[in-house]
Amino acid sequence: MNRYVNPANAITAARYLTLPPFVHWLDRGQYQYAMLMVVVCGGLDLIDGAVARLFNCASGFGELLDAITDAICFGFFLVVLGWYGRLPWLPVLGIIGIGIINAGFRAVYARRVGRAVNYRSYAMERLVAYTVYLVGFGVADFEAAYFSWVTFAVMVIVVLHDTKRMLIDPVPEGAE
Amino acid sequence: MIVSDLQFMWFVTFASLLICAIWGARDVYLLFKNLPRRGRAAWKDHRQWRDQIFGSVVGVVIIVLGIIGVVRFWSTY
Repeated sequence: MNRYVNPANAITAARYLTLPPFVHWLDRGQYQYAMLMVVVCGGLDLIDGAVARLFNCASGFGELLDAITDAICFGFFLVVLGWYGRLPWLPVLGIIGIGIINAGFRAVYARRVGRAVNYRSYAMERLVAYTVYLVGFGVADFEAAYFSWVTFAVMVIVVLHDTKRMLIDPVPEGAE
Repeated sequence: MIVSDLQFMWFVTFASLLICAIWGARDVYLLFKNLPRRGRAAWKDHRQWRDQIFGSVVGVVIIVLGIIGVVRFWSTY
């Protein structure tokens, strides 16, 4: 199976197709259709890993593409929702800023370990899923300000923990 | 519009509570499974185990915060 062009990466790349219709429907006040695009994007994120295992085409490139697509799609949703006033700007900027800082620390960690290894943060995995829900709450105008600030506050705690683990704690011998 | 606004809000509410129930049950199960596995002496030596515990605690916290958000919404709707 081709390292770059395979069913799993095609599904991951297809998630970008949800972004233009999301903006289109949000701009026209068709929030339920915009929500549908968020659900489709999140759903494709859930199945691409399973497809990679099914077709035996899992690769480092696929993992990287998935992580980058997560950041771009969910970051894009947050920015657009902030632009249209569905989410408050301050926590949105905070969430994106902390996400960028966390990505930088992960690069430092990979350099410390001396190989391309990603620090597995169980807390951040949960928080990313929560961010998808924040996007949904923003589209539906469902306590959007409350969920934005809550997500921001929990993200600060998780990134402080992960930063200590990645930059201060000793690097373990085996893979994490 | 696919459904009415009220139906849409009920859909968001039930979807949120369903996820809270599934994720909450999973994280509470993982906490009860992982916590007694090692004693307090292992706390400093097993960082990945500690990360799992921290992840589950964060999971439970955001589930509780999610339920509070749903209650807040319907108390002012």
